[in-house]
Amino acid sequence: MSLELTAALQDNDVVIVGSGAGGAMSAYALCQAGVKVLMLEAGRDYDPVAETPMFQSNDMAPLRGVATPDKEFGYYNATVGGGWSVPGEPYTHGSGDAFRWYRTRMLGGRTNHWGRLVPRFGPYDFKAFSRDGLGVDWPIEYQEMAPWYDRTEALVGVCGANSGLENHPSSSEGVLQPWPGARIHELFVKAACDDLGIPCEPARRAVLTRPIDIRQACFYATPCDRGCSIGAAFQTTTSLLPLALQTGNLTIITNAHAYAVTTQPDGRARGVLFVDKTSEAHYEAAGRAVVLAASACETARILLNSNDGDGLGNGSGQVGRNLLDTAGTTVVAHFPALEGRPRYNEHGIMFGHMYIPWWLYKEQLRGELDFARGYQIEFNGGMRRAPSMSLGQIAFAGGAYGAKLHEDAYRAYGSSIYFAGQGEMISSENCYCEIDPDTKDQFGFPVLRFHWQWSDQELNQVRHMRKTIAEIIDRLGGEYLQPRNTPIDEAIRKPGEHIHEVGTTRMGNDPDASVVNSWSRAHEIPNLMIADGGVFASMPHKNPTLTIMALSWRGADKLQEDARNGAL
Amino acid sequence: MATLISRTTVKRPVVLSRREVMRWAAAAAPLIGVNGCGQLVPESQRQRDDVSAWPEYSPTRAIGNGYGKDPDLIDPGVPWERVLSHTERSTARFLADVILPAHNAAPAASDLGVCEFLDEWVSAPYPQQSQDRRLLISGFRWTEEEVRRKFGVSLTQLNTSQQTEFFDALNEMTISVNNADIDSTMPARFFARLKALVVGAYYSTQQGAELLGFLGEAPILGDYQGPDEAALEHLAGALTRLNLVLPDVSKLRFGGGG
Repeated sequence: MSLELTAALQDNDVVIVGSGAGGAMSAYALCQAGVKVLMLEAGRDYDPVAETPMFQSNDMAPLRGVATPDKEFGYYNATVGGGWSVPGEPYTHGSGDAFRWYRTRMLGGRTNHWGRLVPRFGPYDFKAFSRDGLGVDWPIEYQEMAPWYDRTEALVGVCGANSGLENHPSSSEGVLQPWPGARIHELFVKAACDDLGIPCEPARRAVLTRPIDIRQACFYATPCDRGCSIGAAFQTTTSLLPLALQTGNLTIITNAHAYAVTTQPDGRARGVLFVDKTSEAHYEAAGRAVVLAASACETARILLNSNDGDGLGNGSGQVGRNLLDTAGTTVVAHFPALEGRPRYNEHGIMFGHMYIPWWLYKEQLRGELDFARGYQIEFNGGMRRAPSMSLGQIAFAGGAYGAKLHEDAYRAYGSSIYFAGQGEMISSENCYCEIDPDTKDQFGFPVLRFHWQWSDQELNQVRHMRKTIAEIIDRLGGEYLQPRNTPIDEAIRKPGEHIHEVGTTRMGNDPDASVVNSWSRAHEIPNLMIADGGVFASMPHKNPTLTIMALSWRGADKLQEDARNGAL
Repeated sequence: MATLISRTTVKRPVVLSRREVMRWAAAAAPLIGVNGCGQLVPESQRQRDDVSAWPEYSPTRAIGNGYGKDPDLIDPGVPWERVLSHTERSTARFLADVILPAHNAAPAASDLGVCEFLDEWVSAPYPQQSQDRRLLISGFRWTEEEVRRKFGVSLTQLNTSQQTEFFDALNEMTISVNNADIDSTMPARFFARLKALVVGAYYSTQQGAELLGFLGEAPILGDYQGPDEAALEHLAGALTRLNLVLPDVSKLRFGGGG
């Protein structure tokens, strides 16, 4: 046993599995409160200050940086050791549509490359069952979450503006940082939306337009999906983790692959078993409490593989069930009206500064739509990013070669816009993960097997979003850069592709129908908290990470309060 | 959704609008035909029956390893060997410069390293590139054979009018590619793909980006300024032509939106 590791395993109050959004936020909150935390991360150490290719150009990368099976979101994307597949750690397909599971093996997890769109869930989102009788309600209300959203937004650093729209709550005064303003392609789409009666509003992004703590404000020049060495685009490796480390209360072990939670004779959690991937030695990290934040599906897997495979905290049988993602579709179109437009610095914060929030709540309540829940539409395009290999496909559509192709390329650059509809799916017994009885990973632990089936709710919703997108494109005189009338089962993106997987350890008041209580604590194990998206009772059409962090902070706060009061 | 960006920009096939296809197909009809073997048959050759067959390249050359799932992003390198022969490289060079010749301030494709890039691309061990390796190497051979058969000279010896005649016909055919209604020939698929690769490779260089007027990588110390007057004026004109109204920009600048 390595001496260094042995020392790290001593005298910890809380063991946290995972260093992404949920795990890092719990670590931050606990360390600030004086709690000694040991964090286990399955991936390697990662230093965005030294490793982010901020200004490396496309022509410095192999194949101009295009996506390959090794780097599925492009060469420079801040994904280490993973993607849709992780070598030596497979997952399998059970029934229905094949679920796609995106994983990284790096400190900070998927926060290093995420889209950083951070809308709040609203009052309807926590009580959707009460509105339409589908799925389940959350055991908490928006009003309980509002102060945690304020606190989380202020700590994370969110730029944006309050829209005042139905079910899109405002942040308190002074919480949001300045919104970066609309760019040409955004004003262009907004003009059509204004005409069509569709809202087009400032997006909230976890990107700093003002410096805070150890982080600098955005300088509007580099692609955020590569990560951000100046800390402007939020990732835990430049913010929560260094801030928690500064307290002296956090120890992080990387390359530590957690596989089971151990228990005391009285049923309380004792610690976490993990493999040190560098030595292949097995260890137990003990603590007075355990926080699982390995990502929704990996956390479910750890629980199901605990107790020598008999499972833990699964009296409800709901661990791994109720798997949710976002239902969505993408459309790309070329707009002759934008051809050859004057150049200016269009980078901004790279991501969309505006988006289309859901607006047909009243129509839905009156039963006028053939799907129950909302969607939002993100769009982007223009001349934000340096030209890439994709320009070849746009210029090709013009048909020329030779000198005229130079002119066509200049004209075409910045004239296409993509639209991504993202809708709320409803939990069903057909979408879940479970332990595969036959397949094991390279460490010998059983892997997950996924089952998936879209319902008419999602298919009808995606049909509607494609119709809305078509109306906008048509109003702007756009031309589709893909088939317009794709069959809906092909047009809907594959399950898991939004990387919004949640719900596998959902929260509720009823221990027979949920895994954790309203404080994200396992019903059966009072000192076991879950701090990732697994606890979601539903997956609204709004991106999940802000709510993961707010719930994690809220849960960690309660955990240390209970510990102080001797309630654990 | 950072995830969307690379995926939509890299993998999406381009399909022309039906209107565009019909216009091009109509324009192309008098010029070219397709014989039973799916080969390009220019007008001047249509009476003859001896058009070069498509020389399907069977991948026999050794292909190296990829860069793996944790490559060096700060100082990138290409780990695989190049597979193009000297002759194929010179064909690639010639074709790249036909597609993007020197024009005003723009250098020819070969001067921006596009030929070397094509070799790097077709030599890569990934599925898309392996598919392109087969298509491009076959296409290089077909082009050489077809030019020699038709004009009795090698590709590099074509005079200007021969070059125009040959590539105009070939280029007209590319309109059929990716359109399910029209059967595309292998030469058409080859040339369409080559064009897309050459344009992408050319303009994704730093010099190419400058030629397109890309200004997005200049750091701003201070608040983001957004579009300038010229950009807004152009947009206002475009929206007017679409019978749309420019949104109130004064409320949509940095710090606004609320």
